[in-house]
Order: sequence, then C-alpha cells, then structure tokens
Amino acid sequence: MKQNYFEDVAEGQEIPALRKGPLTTVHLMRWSATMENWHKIHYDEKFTVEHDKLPGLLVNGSFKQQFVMQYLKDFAGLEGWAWKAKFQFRAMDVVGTTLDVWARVKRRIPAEGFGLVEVDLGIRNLEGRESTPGMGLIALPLRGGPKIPYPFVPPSTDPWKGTRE
Amino acid sequence: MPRLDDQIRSFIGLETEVRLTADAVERGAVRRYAQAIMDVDPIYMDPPAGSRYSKPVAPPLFPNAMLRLPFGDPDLVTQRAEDPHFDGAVGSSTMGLPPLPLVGSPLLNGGTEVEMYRFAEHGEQVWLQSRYLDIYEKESSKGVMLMVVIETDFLDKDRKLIMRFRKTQIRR
Repeated sequence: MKQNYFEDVAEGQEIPALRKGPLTTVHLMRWSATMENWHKIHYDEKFTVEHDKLPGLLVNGSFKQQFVMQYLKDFAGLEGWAWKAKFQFRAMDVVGTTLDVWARVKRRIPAEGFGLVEVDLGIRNLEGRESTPGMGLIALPLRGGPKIPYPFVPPSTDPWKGTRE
Repeated sequence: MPRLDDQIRSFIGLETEVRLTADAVERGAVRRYAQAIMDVDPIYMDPPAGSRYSKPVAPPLFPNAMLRLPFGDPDLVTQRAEDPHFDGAVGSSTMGLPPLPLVGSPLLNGGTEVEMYRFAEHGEQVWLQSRYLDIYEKESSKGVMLMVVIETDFLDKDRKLIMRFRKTQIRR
C-alpha cells in the first residue's frame, strides 16, 4: 500500500474513490449476522415496507460507516492515522445499490511532528446521489519526519474542538 | 410521532457502568468482520514485519460490534417473537442503555462521530461505557423527529481510550 505524506497532499485534491457493491441481501444479512444486530429493516422486506413504511431493505448505516473508515485508514497508510470522522446518514440506500466513498482535501494543517489533512467526504450511489456527507481528519507523516505515535497522541490544538456534526 | 416530553428528557445524561464486553477480540470474529465489510487488510491477520502493529488488529470500528448478548442473559428475540411491533433492534442499538419508552417508533441511524486512538488487538479485552449525551427534537418534511445522541467510550484494561463513538439515532 502506498504511503501518503503530508507534503504530497494539496488542498482541493480528490482522493481516489473506494467502490463497494452492488450490495445484495446476502451482503446485508452477512453484516447483520456479523454485528449480531437483528434489525428487520435490513432483511425483512414485509416488516420494512408495511410496518416501518420504508421504501425497501436498507443498506445499514453501520455498514456504510465501515466503508468510510476503511477509506480513511487506507489513505492514512501504515504510518499515518485516521483520527476523526463525522458524517450524517441523510438519505437511504436500498439493497442492490453500488456505493462510492469519496473525499476531497479541504485543509492542510501543520501539527507537531506531522500534518493533519481535513477532508470533505461522502458516499454516492452510481446516479451521483449523496447519502452520507461528512468530514475526516487524518494525520499524515512528514517526509523524513518522526513516526506518528501509536497509540495516537492528538496535537495540542484540536481543529474540530467545539464542533459537532 | 414521538416528542421530547419530561419522561424522555429524563434519559439525558443517563450512563451505564463500565462493562466488559461479552468476548475478547477473537481471531475468527475479526476474520468474519473483515470479510463482511470486504476489507481484507493484512494488518487484521498478519501485519507486515517492522510495522507499528506488533500483533494482528481488528478493523477500526470493530469494538462497536462487541456489545454482544452475554451468555445466559434474557433473549429479547425470543421474548418478543410474537410482538408485531418488535423491530429486531437489540443490544448494540442502545449500547446497553435502557431503551426509550417509545412504542412502534421506527429507529434509523442518523449519523456518526468517531475518534480513533488505536485499533483493538487480537485477544484483547475491551470495556465500554455509554451515555445518552443528548436528545432533541428536529423538524423534518414528515414532521417532528427525535434525535438521540449516544456516546460510547471503548477502553482497554488500563481504562485508556481505544475509540470514542457517538451515534445519532432518529426516532420518528
């Protein structure tokens, strides 16, 4: 896996998307079983439509957030650290959809011994509809710089302090 | 349509004890989890030599799925098998907090905030503590919704933070 360094990242830069899907009932059932969470709106279509009045079986928010964290982890690489993320589930994705996790660099924030990269992020379906807008904050190493501490030690100034999605 | 009445408001600030999860981070559970999310990163089974991971680790949000039904505890799935309003949401939906007294009120996942400090390691035990951080009303095109914010700290044996996770549930 390629290691990204703080110096290599520019504001406005698009990060290559991560595609997941098509997400079938089998994917949703496997995820529900993994979580041991038996919420019917992910596998019981009759209950979902007739009782909860939803359009169809829903791709779990808990499932979609795994994709976001994988994406940020992979962008951070083995030497960086995906410190924070926040996002809202504003639109439903129904079974059968294919999703792209995307991000764009919003700010580069120098910190002590590393750099923080703030990104806008989201999850779009193949029609381009955004369902999960949010932000991420990733620590990237400096070229030739010290190792980012692990477990992660946050910088003295938190760019998101006092904010909440 | 649920409203923020005094009974619901009384849940704000309610907090669980610090509790040990039902199981440690099991290799097989990590394998199933990684396969389910379709992220087969080598750090989950065999981290590269010389990397910061001296032991295999679990995917980032794995601790959030560790609130399993302890062996021998009452089984809601069976107890409510004939309840037509039972939506199947158990355990991790409320993170061990007492459920809000809302009958037939659909629950949707509204959003997430997460702070990561490290990944849980294979074999490690994890503790957690949850609280109702906030409950508030929000207008939507379909009427008033209740927004329920649950914050959970995932802790190691020294009570150091592995991850802090906030989820916002929508009750309609």
